[in-house]
Amino acid sequence: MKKSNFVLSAVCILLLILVSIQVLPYPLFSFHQSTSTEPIQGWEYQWGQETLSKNMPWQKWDFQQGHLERNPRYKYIWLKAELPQEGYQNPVIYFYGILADSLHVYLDKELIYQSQETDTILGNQVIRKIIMPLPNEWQGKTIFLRLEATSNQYIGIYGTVLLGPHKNILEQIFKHEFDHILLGSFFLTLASIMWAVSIFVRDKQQKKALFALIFFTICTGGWNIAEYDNVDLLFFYSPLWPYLDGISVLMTPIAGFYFFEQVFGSGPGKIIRRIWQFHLLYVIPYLVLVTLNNTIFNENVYTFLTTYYSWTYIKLLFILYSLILVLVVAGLVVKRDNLEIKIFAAGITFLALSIVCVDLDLANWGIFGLIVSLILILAHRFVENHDRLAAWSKNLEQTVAARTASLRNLLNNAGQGFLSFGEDLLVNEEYSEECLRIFGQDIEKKPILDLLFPEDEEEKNFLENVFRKIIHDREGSLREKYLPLLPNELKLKGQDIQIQYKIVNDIFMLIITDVTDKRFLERQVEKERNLLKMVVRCMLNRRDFHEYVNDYRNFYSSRLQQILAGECPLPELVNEIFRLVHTFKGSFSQLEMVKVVQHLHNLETDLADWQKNLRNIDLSSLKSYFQKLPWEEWLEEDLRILQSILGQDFFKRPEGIYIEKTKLLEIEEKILSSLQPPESEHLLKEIRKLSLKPFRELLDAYPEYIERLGEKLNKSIKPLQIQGGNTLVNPDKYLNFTKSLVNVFRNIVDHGLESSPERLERNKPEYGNIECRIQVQDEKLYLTIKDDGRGIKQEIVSLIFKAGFSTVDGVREISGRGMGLAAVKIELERIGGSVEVSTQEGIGTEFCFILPILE
Amino acid sequence: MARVLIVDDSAAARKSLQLVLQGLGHAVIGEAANGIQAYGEYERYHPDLVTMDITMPKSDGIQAIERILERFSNAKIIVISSLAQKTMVLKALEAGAKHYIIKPFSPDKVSKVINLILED
Repeated sequence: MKKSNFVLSAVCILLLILVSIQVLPYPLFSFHQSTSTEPIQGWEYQWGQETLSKNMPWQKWDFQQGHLERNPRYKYIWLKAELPQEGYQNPVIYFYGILADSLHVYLDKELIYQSQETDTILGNQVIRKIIMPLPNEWQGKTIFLRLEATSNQYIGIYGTVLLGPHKNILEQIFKHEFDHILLGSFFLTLASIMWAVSIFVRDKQQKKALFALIFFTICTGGWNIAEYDNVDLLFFYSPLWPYLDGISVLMTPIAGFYFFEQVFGSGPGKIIRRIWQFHLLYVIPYLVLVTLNNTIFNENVYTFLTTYYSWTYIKLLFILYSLILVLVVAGLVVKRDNLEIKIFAAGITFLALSIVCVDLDLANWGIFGLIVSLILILAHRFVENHDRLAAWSKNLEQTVAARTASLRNLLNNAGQGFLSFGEDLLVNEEYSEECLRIFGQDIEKKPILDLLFPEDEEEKNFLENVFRKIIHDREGSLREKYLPLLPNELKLKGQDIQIQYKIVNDIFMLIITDVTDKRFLERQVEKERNLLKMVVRCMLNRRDFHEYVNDYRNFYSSRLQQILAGECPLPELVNEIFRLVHTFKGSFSQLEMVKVVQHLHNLETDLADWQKNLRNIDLSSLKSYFQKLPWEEWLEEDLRILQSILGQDFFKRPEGIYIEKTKLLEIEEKILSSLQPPESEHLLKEIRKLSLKPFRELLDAYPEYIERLGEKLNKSIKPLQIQGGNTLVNPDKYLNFTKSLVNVFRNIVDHGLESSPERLERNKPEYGNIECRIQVQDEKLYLTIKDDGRGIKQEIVSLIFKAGFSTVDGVREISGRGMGLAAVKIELERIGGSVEVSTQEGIGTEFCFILPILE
Repeated sequence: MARVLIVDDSAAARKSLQLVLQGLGHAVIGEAANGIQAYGEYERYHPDLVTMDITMPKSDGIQAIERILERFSNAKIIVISSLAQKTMVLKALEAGAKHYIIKPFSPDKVSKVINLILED
């Protein structure tokens, strides 16, 4: 604990102790004498009956004691006093503090006042304050009071009896402790102001503290008013007064401690909370007693109540020590240099000083000071909190602004338009920049329907209907049903825009994407695809193509004229044309000739209309209609495309097909670049079929070659016959291999076949024979080359395909380098083939090449 | 399994929907080619569900929906239509159709909508 705090607390405690010493007797009500009124003094009393007995002795009445025990022998007590000999015109007498069941006042023997039943208060114990005018010629007379004590335990007068002019008496009464009622009202006003302020307090803890302070102020105001001595002069007695008085007094410290707890915390072991809870317990018996007293009045209860209530000593000690504890806690809990605890201490100090040093009656003003200090503490809290909140809020604003900016940036650059609208179907002010581009205008507060469908009233109505249905569907059950009816894509100012819809808290959010480029590309691809399909179809079905084109040309140039010139009735005539057009449409669509098909389709639609409205048509209009149709132009559109891709020659030879190889490659490339598998694969397969060749054609050059070689080497050889080999293969794949076969043939002619004399010598036919046979078996090509020459020695058969092997010693032009057959072997292996050699010395050799079928 | 009445003026459309529905395990208990027949068939069979084409000769789908619902307020009717007729779809929903299926439909979509309606 900081030293200064400690000192401060110690001073406060000391002051409080001083205060408590002063406060203990607490004689708050003391009359301030005034010269314009005077107390009637010299009172004497005697016990007696209804009428005054002259024999009884008078005794001096002791106002300090203020009451006597009821005397069971006497029903009444008589009091008397002499009035002054002179003074005041038309004065009044003011009675206050009479304990009795009833009161009679006599001036000498004249009855001048008789109390009513309603004049008794506090459970018929006390006569309320009375202001009673005196008759004329009152001077020097004796005033008698007859007090009745039938139910009361006590009887007598403890207050004062004043004499003076009515005006002065009233003035004095109301001046008396008038500060009570003034302060009381002031406190209540203050409390109501704080109540109003509390509306603006949001912080829960502060609100509690403020309510504690309000309660504290109300309680202080409450007992100030309740203890105002003249309440019973102003109002009739009400059983609520004891509640108000007692409760407000007893609750005041509780409210104070609760305030402390809320502002400074409840201290170690929650001691502050325990204190006010304990004080609260003290209130309960009081409430019970007051209630009992009000409901079943009973002397014992009343006695107990008054004793309990006036047990001021204990109560004040209790408050004092509670306060000491509070101050200790304040020192412990509150941090150094805390302004609030200083204000709190100052408030307490002011209270103490106001009581000790100035005037006990000003204790209320001390309390007022305390309340002001408590208000200051709260105000300080508010300001601090407000500053902190302001800082937070500023910080938050900055953060939000930064986030908003980055979000806006993100949305503006997302390449999508974001906009939202509510029930009014007007676009909200926040939308992303892309919207400006898409809609080509500022769209804030513009009707969304006009933006999406500027010219289509039907769509607008439809959309409005659906939007409203969805927005009004708060539960969201219809959303799933109606959302798919909204357009996902639409044309707007030449753009293709795609729209996604989101609904957040009755707000429609639209995410708009410009897909114009995407759709354009898609259309291009589609176009390209259709085009390629047409090219491939026409190529593969070239006969059909030529036939359809010729038929079509024949139809529009002559057949149509014949039909129109015929005797046919109009309906049949139209039907006939319709049927033919329909057939052409079907034929051309087989070839994927989309342009002409589209035109024929439109024509069909027209014809269908005509069929329905034959009455309105005559033959001549029909004729002129058909004559005007650009039949050839329709066809030309497709033909031009075909020609540009397949070349002019495609149209020249209807019987066969001639396409330049480069054109074919171009088509293949186009297919690969513009189509995705499996479609591209399918088309490529079709197209490549065009370039396949029968395998035997790859060997076409060899018969002539062998003939020439035979002549050159002076060997007689039968012309080479190639058998079989119509299987279609991709020539490119086999080309290197079939070229390398030259080595095989050369070897046969050079080394294998004997010269004619040699052959004749060996009883062989004069002409050597080479056979070439191509067979397909088990999806393999078997190419057999067989000669009837000298054969190969068994021991070298396995070596002939090895590089560098040669059976001859010298290198000649024709063969002998030993590289030839090795080359064959290499090419063979490249295409995954194999070779078997069978030979018989003197009889011949057979090479069997086993090849895969490659397309 | 639901007992379904198919209403469509096209026999081919009825057939294809019938196949889809049977594939999903539903029973097609009746067919109607126009709105008037639809009402009669409904009265006769009290099906669990009606699939209703909108554009039909004589009495169109919307009239049929209104007529059926007037008498049988619990009838569960699903509209079958193309997106080009979305305005009519909306009218049908307003007339009391429970849901709709947009042509061309997949068995999945049909199944989803039917289950949704039958669960209600």
